[in-house]
This record gives sequence, structure tokens and C-alpha cells, in this order.
Amino acid sequence: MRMANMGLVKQCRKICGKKNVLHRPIDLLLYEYDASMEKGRPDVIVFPENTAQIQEIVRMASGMGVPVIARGSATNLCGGTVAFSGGIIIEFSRMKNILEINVEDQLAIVEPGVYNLDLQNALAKYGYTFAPDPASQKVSTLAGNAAMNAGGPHCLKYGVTVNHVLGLEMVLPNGELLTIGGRVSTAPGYDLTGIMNGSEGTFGVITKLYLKIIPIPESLKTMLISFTEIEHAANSVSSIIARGIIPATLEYMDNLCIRTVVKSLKVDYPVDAAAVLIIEVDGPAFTLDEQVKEIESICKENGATDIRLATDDNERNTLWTGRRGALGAMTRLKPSIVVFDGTVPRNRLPEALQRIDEISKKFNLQYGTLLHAGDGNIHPIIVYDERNSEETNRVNIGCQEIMKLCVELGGTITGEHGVGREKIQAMKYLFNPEDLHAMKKLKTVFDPGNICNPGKIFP
Amino acid sequence: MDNSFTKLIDKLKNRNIYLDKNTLSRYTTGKVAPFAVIEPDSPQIMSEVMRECYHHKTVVNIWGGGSHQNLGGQLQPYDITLSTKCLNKVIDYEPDNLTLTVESGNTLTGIQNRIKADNLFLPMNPPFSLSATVGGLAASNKFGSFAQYYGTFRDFMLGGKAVLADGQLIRFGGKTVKNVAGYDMTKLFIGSMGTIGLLTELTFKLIPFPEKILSVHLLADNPDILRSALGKIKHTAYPVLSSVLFLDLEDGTVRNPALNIDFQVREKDVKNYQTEINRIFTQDITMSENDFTEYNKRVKSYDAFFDIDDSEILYEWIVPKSQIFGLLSYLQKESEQLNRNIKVLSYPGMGILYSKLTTDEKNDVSALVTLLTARRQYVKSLRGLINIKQCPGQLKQHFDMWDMAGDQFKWHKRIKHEFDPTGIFAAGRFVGGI
Amino acid sequence: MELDNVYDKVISCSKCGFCQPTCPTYLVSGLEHEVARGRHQLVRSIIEEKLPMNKDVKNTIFQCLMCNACYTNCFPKIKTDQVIARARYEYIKRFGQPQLQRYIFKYLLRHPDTLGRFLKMASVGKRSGISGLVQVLRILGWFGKNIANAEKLLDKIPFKSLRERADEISPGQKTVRGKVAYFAGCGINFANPDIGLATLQVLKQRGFQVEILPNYCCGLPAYAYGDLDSVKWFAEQNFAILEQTDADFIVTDCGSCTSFLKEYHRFVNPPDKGDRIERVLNRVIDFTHLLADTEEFAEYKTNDDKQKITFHDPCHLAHHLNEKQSSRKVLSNLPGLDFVELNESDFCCGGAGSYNIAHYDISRKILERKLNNVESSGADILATACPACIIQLAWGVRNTRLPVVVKHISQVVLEKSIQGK
Ligand code: SF4
Ligand code: SF4
Repeated sequence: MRMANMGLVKQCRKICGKKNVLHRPIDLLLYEYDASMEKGRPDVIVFPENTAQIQEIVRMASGMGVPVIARGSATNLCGGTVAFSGGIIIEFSRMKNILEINVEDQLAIVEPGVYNLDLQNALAKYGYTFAPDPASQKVSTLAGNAAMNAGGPHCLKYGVTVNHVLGLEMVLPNGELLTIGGRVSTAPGYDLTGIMNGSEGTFGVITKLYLKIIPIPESLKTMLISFTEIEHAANSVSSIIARGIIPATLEYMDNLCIRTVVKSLKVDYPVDAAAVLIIEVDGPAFTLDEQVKEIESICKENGATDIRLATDDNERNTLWTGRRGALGAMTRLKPSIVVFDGTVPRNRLPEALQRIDEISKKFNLQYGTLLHAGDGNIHPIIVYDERNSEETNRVNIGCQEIMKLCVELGGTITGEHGVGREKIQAMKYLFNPEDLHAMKKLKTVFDPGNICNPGKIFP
Repeated sequence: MDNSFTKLIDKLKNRNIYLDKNTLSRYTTGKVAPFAVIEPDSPQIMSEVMRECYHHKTVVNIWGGGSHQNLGGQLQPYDITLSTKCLNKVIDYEPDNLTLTVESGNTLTGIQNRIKADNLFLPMNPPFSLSATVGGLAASNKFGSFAQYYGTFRDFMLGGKAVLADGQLIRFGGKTVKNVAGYDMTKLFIGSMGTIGLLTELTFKLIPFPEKILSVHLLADNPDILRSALGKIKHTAYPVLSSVLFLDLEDGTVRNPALNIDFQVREKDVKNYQTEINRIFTQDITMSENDFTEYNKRVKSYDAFFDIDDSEILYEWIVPKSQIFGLLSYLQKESEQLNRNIKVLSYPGMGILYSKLTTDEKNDVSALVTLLTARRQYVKSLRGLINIKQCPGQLKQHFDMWDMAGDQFKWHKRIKHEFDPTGIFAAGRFVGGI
Repeated sequence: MELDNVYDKVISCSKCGFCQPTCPTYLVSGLEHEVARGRHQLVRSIIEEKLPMNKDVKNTIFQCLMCNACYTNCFPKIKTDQVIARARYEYIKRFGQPQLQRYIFKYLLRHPDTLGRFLKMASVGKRSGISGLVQVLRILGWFGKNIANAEKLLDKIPFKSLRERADEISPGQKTVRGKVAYFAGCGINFANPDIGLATLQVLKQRGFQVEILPNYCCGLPAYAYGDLDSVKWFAEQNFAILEQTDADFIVTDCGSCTSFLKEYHRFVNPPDKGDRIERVLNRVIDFTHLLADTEEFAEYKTNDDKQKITFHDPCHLAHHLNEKQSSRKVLSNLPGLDFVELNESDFCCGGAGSYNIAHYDISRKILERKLNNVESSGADILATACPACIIQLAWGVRNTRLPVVVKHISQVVLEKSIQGK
């Protein structure tokens, strides 16, 4: 076990106070993971209470050449907050305040550690919402959402996190505090806000966020549509969107997922369907019936066998229970789980699904598929037992194959989870060395010493 | 001129290089004409040319449609003009997938016409851009009133290719809306005004035509009425494609005020929306209903405002959304004090306001500088900013065209330096003279 | 390492982190050590021998409230209490069980008469062995943290236990709705017989025939301290007793007992296991639940002033049994009461049996959060359905001088019922 670096610990204590610094072996062990399979042990964990402390920590780390890794709830699925080469983990569980909600300016200002859902709840009182709603919203922090440029089911209509971040305050590796963007919709210069989003903490530490908030749509309608052929479902997706209807969400579940949720959540989904789509439209109440009718007829044209429409909130929740619980239900099949999030152009979905099936047969993988279908965002959920190294190995190879496939079909290796540590090799499938070199230039600008979350993104 | 560069010029001789006076003067920004204009017809040749330029420290000015060359600060001297005019291929168009990849020299109008047949459009209406290329528009991050609903380039440009200063051709982003593989380089190029790379290819998300546009028109010379009308929809999720406010301020008086709020709706919903609109607006409104093509013609008429002549200055105010009307009354007072006529066009839904001022001999430079200083001070108190979008060339050197906080600037400069250490891309127009 | 039979559980923790916003100890500490994810990773590391079972792990293992709030959000549905109980078992095996705990679980609770005698002595003011008793009662969770005043509090220990007062219950209705076997939890029997009386009275009024079982402690306190051997003893004794009754319902008015009785299948092992266990456990039902299922809400007096009432969900009902509807159904139908929802109603009160003593700091912060929510609910009455919660909440209310009365739901129901009905 790595011995704590006492010099470093002392420095951290001086800055954050003794009670806000952890370094015993057990502490390090408990901060060596996130929600991915990656691991890496930090040297010390600090819990700053304010931005000034973060500045000092980062400045000190830079001076000593020690890595700093900002960590929110560590719910990312790519090893993004794992201290791959030791260093200081900066935790935000003491910075959880919503600083301002301003509906007249339609923005919210928050500290980095605020949970996405806590902001949503606070906004709901004003009839407002923050559009990005990653599946982890109950627990993921807003700074984490921005750092990973999180997605979620509502991206189809509302865009991803970066489309809703107006500005950021960051501590840069030299300890300097930089505010970019802010209360206004656009600012001159290079789009630093755009670059920082999705940079996975490799440029600096986010200490404050200016977020765009939008009024909650007046009403919702939710449908569950069953298909006997996967292809019919996938085709319906393209047709709906091509027809100019942009549903708020357009989700897909395959048969294994359906059967699993029916069994473990007792939801009333059609167990013999090859796939279901869960489609939700939102807007003024008087516009929804027509949209629903149109979606119904498109799906029927494409071979839908059964269409259910939730008529009240209760039924709507029931329809969602299955989708929301799907990932969880899958985790009960086997102890370990890996979820990929490759993305392909929407019209390549049928092919992608078929080829993923071939890959999993080849490597004998047990998997179910969820899709944010409207975005072409595929979530093959592979279940296995990580104690079985042969199986784990097959899973790893299979995942690489799936990512290669997504690239081949004109898509990308990761649509919303990020590269982190887990997909750095796969970056090569997508980009050639020159492309990566250009990205690295940006890294050099902000973090020449490579102290911010090193070992991530780049192969 | 170095030997190998001469060779390249030789190579391109009969195709894409122009050395004649006539062409050179047409492709001149600022006072001094380039010594050559090159129009490579493929990204590869573009990359080769750039490599040579890099080698010979030949400074280039990038030229798209030429419509926005006068944007921003005073362009520094440069050697050649690189035009994207011949990068005009459509690389990949998938109406099914609602994506389009085109070379950067395509004009926006050309693209819109091409995809119109599939009932699709690129969701933007930047003013005065008939000849503008998509590359140029992306580089200058132009947007129009549709941005209220569809956002700006950063919201619908998914990826592309660019030639960097050393001639390296790189690819970034992709064809999917969701994509978090590595840094989002697309964002870096948007609005970078050709200071770090030359866009050769752009991929866009396309949008199906709105079936109908239902517009609410309001003419009221009391800004409070306009404000309250906007207030009716502000906290709703109605699909407002665009809302535009015009007025003239003449010696402190409001003249010719007009507010247009345009909803994009489905044909079947038109009736219901009409009822709803009549219900929510208690003001004295008129309504009109258009299909999208007709509507676009009307929107084009807004462009006139941005048709800046040699004597005008165009200011761009960007403020928190709630401050638009406060800003208006500030301008009203200002016009009274200055005894001036100020023309205003605003996208209140985005907190953006453009104001125009005509200069004449009476205006000495120092008065204009003082005015800008006063305005910057005021807008700072609103936590907003003010840029000068366009102004007579001879005034540029006196103004800081872009409003940027000092501590930020050095990072922009470092980015520029990292991507273009030897200053191959002509400087002067961008923030802080980058 | 004998933790192995929880290995499957901890390995299935996907580290998703979804337990964070539900876990009280995490919410007040913000530490990975104090959340289900961290606890599972810690136990896993011990099993995989990446971390020695030393005293550093103690807090992580012992500061868990075993409230299972994490279970609600947990995808693989890991019952953290089972992992933790097992870990504590291993811990005391390694480092020994404190003398006093051994005395309580291996002797005192197995001899309820002796315990009763002790309490009686204390109650009438005989001071012999008083400090030992204070300790005992703290471990059983019958005292708040007001240790300094413990002796004064002892005076409030009732002289007679519920069993001794059973004859005070007035005769009930004639129509027999069914037969109830009442399982008298220790917290009710010894510490809060008034609640038990109210429960029994209500049941009788409703036309249930009631029998009080001669049961032992349900075993939960031993479970919470990782004394799984004692748990087995209590479970086996009680199971035999439960098997003997032919009542339609086996009822307790302690949410913790209810849920723990339902866990007995883990600890007893009769020959034709499945059937026999099921027959017993299927009849176990919480008082609130029974009432909600059978009550005819027309039978109440109506002349009261309106009072606001709210409900704290005991963890064992809300998280272990997923039972939150009944209390609301009952309370919102009572006349003269205005039911208001309590924000974070199923957030632990920090009592968690005797947790409040062992982990004063965390417990206090959790209780503070609870009381803040109670205060902003504006309720006059705070009802709940577990004596341990009542002790903790009442202590908190006294301390902060909140203008709220803490009551068991059966007491509330009784007050609103027409006598003799
Ligand atoms: S049982 Fe309660 S205290 Fe323990 S980990 Fe779960 S939620 Fe946290
Ligand atoms: S919710 Fe369950 S699976 Fe997720 S981290 Fe917590 S204990 Fe593990």
C-alpha cells in the first residue's frame, strides 16, 4: 500500500484545515474508484470549503508537480475521476450551494457540488428547469455534468450540457481564478466555455457555474410502443424525426431489458416484444394530441404491434418505471456491469444493432440494449462477473469491437459518458495523431505541467 | 519570394492563383492589397498552400464570401488572400439523419436552396449574408433572430475539418449530436475569425421546416407595453422561433416601434395557437400566418438594419435578459442628451440589442471614444458588454472593438500563440488585436 | 475470511453512487466512508485482503445506521444492513465483544424477568446498580443522549410493564374481525407501555380478539451490534412462540420489530423450512398497516379543533418493508387533523436503536436535519410508528423546545376514536 506523502499532507492541512484532509490507507482506498471499472489511488483527499482554498491547493500542487483531480459524486462511467497517477483529489461535498436563481435573466448560479436534481427541484418552484438530465441526476454534480458534458434522455430536443452552460468560474493550474462567459448569452473571443465543457477536468477546476434555465413545458404525453422486429422500431425512430416531430425523449429497450424489468420490477411491459420505444412529447397541451396521433400512425406504418398511451401522471410514471429501472434490473442478472455509450447516425441504428448482436455472439456476451434512440446513442449493457478473468477479458475485447463499429458507421466512441481513462485507446479509432495533437495544444495552453487530471482522454 | 513558393505558384498557375491587379483589389481588406489571391479547390491543396505559407512566414487573410471582411478590429498587413470559394463540394448529405457535411466555401443561401427540397434548413438567419459562406459565418459566429430557438453555431455545428497554421489538416467533432470524445474543438473554431485555422469542412445538424409561422405584431410607442407583451411569453415554453424589436430614438423620443414575435407551429395547431395568443396578449396586437418560405422573405427585410454604410457605427450590446428595457431607456436618455438619432434592433429573448449611430464630420474621434467608454461603464453595471461590430475603417484604430475583461485576454492570446505561433493568420480583427 | 457470504453482495455494487443522496450518514458527513458504496468497497477490500481488518475500518462499519435508505436507490438492490451486520460480526469476533453487550444479549434479554425486576427497582428509586442499568438502557436505545440526566430519566421508566398492565384495557366490540397475536417489543413493553395499551385498546375497539405473546426481544439490538449468534437464539425462541399461535395476524406496533420478524427466515432453520416459515411470517403485519387495511373511517368523533399532524417514517417501515402508504391513509382520514407531508419523511431520525449514543456527532446532525424539517412542516403533532424513533424524536423536541408533541400513531388514533367503539 502506498504510504501517504506526509509533506503533501501537511501542506494540504495548512490550507484546508486538518479536518478537511484525509490520507490514511483506508481513506485512499475509498477514493480510488468511480462508477467505472478503473482504479487508481490518490495520495491525499481534500475537502475545500471555498474557492480560495482550491486556488491555494492547485497552486501548491502545481509547484510540487502533483496531480489534482476534481471529483464530484464520482458517478462517471469512464474512470474520469480516478487518480490514475496519484495526487490530490479535490472533493466538492462541502460546496453544494445554489447561489442564485434568476428567472428574469433565466439563469442559475451554483457551486460545483450541487446535485443536478437538487437544482431541478429548486427550479421547479419557479416553473423552470435545467434541461440536461443525465440518468445520474439524483446524484451527479453540476460541475461533473459540465466537465463531462453530460447527456441524458432529453438531449434530442434540448441539447447536451454545453448548450446550457452560460459561463464558468475556474481555478486554472497556476492557481489563477478565471471567469468565462457569465450572465449573458454570448461573449467575444474563443469559446472558452465551450472548450471547458467536456474537458473532463483536464484544464482546471470548476468552482462556479452559470447555467441557462428554461420554463417547464406545459404538459407531457408518454407512449409505450411495441415492435416484433428490432428494425421496425429503429426505422420508426428515423421516420418520426424526419417527419419534423422532435419528441422530448425517444427511448428504446430491447427484449432482454424488457424481460428483465418485467421480472424484477413487475411492470406491465409486453414481454414478447422484440423492442419497445418510449416516446414522450411535450409542449402546450393543445398541441400534443395531434403529435401523438402522428407518432402512432408513423409507428404503425413501420410495423408497431401495440401502442399504449399514458392518460395520467400515474400511468406515465408506470411507463417510465421500466425504462428508468432497466439498467438497475440488468445489474441483478450478474454482479458486474459495463455500459457503453457509442453513438451512430440515427439512420445507421438498425445496422448497428444487428452488428452489435453479432459481436456479442462472437464473444459470448450477455447483454441488453437501451438506446437514447433519437440521438443514435447506444447503451449496450453487458453483464458479467469481474471475478472471472476469462469472461472479463471477452467483455473488454467485445467493448473495443463495439466502439470500432460505431466509428465505422460514422459515429463516435462515446456520446455522453466521456473518454476518461477507460476509452483512451479507443480515441485512436476515431482520431488520427494530428487531430489529437491539435487537442493537446489546448491542453498545453491551460495546463502545460499536466497536473490537472493527468492520464485521461489522450492515448 | 522563396523558390519553392514560386514553384507552388507555378503549380497553381492556370487554375487557382490570381496575381492580376483587378482580382487583387477585389480581394483586399483594409488598405493594402495582397500580392496573390489563391483559391485552392480541395482541402489537400489548401493544406499544401498553408504549409508553404508557414514555411515562408507568408501571412494569409482568409476570404469566404467577403461579406464580413470588415468585421472586428483593424486587419494587420498580410501577404496573400486565401479564398475558400472553390471549396464548394457537398461531402455528405443525409436528409434521413438530418445531417449535412459541406466544404466551407458553400454559401448559406446555396445550402438552404439545396436542402429546401427535402423540407430542411440550417437553423440560422444571419442578417445580410446573401453571399456569405458557411465557413465565414462559422468563423465569425454570425447569428440572427432564429438563435433564440435554435441557438448559434455552437448548438448546431457538429464537427468539421480545418487546416492549421502549419498546414496540418485536422478533423474534429463528428456527425452525431452527442459526442464527448475528447475536447470539443468545434467550439474553438466557431467565432475564432480565422485566427487559428482555416475551416475547410463543416458538419451541421439540420432542422425540418416549421410547418407554419404564426406571428404577433405589436406597434406601441410606449416601451412598457412592449415589455409587458414580451413578459406574457417569457416564462412559457412556447416555441418562439424569433422575437425582434425595432425602434428609433430621436432626441429622446421613441419612433416607429415594432415588435414581432414569431411562433413556429404545426399546421394542425394553428387554430389553437391563435386562440391561445388572443387569450394571453391583452395588448393591441395583430396576427399573421405564413408558411416558412414566405416568412423567410419577411425576415430578410430585417437585414436592412445591418446594411451599414461608410458613416455608420454598429454597436452590439449583450446584457442579462432582464436588462433589455433598462438599456433602452438608457439609450433614450442618451439620444436626448446627445441630440442624436439612434436606431435600435433587439433580440430581447437573448438579451441582445444592436444600436446604430451615424457619424459625420462633426463627430470628432474623441467624442466617439468618450461615448464608448461611457457605454462600457454603464453596461458593466448591468453585467453585460458592448462590442463594436462595424465602423468606418479609419475609426477602428481608435476603438477597442471587443469588450473583454482583462484577465481573460491573456488566455485567448495564449491559444492563438499555441496554434499560430508565427502569426500566419492575419491579425488585428479579433479580441485584443489577435 | 468468513465475510465470504456477503461477497456476492458487495461485488454486485456497481459503484454507481446512487446511494449518496439517500444515505443520512453521507449527507451529514460528505465522506465516501459513510455511504453504502464506500462501505461495500471497504468490505470487499477486506474480503479480497487488500485491506486488513483493523481498527481503522471501525467507523465505516459501525457508523452505518442500517436504515437501508440506500436500498431505495440501489440498482442491484443490495441490503446494506446485511453486509454491515456481517461485518460487525466479524469485527467483534476479531476484537472481542464488549463485556456489557455480552451481558445484555447473552443474559439480560434472554431473561426478561430479570430485566423487568431491574427496571422496577430503578423506577421506585432504589439506586442499587443504577449506573450499570443506565448503560444497559443506552445500548438498548431507550435513552437519548442526555446521559447526565439519565438518572432522572430513569424515574420515568414505568413501574409496570405492558404485560403487567394488560388488564387495563377495556373490553372491545363484540363483532370479531379476527384474532390478533400481539408481539410486545421491548421498547413498548418496558419503556413505553402506554403506547402498547393504546394499540391494544384500538385493536379491541375495532373488534379484534387480542392475545399478548410471551415473546423475547426480537433480536434486532443484537443484530445491530453484530452479535449474530444471539440473533439466532432470539429468532429461534420467538419463532417457536409464533408458530404456536393460531391468530390471523401477528401484530406489533414497533416498525423495527415488524420488519425484523419478517427477516426470521434468515435465522431459523426448521426441517421443512419454506412452508412453516412462510406460514408464520405471512401473518406478521405492522399495526399501522393492519389498521389501514381494515379501518372503516366513518367511526370517529368529529368535534375537535383542527391540528396539524405529520408523520416520520421509521426506517424499518419505509426502507426495509417499503411501507409508507398506510400511515398516510390512516392519518389523513382522522377527523380534526390536518395531515401535512414531512419533507424527507423517510430520512432516518438518527436514533437507529442505540446509534445515537455510540455516534453522538453524526446522530446529532441527522436529528437536526430531521427537526428542521419537522419545524418547517408546521405540524403540531409528529406521529411515528416505532418506539425507538419516539425516544429519539421526543428527546430532540425537548432539547430544541419545538412546539410539537411526539406520539405513536396508535395513540393518535385512540384519541380520535369514540370510546367503546
Ligand atoms: S443503511 Fe443507511 S446509513 Fe447505512 S449505508 Fe445505507 S443509507 Fe447509509
Ligand atoms: S446504489 Fe447500490 S450499487 Fe450503487 S453504489 Fe450504492 S450500493 Fe453500490
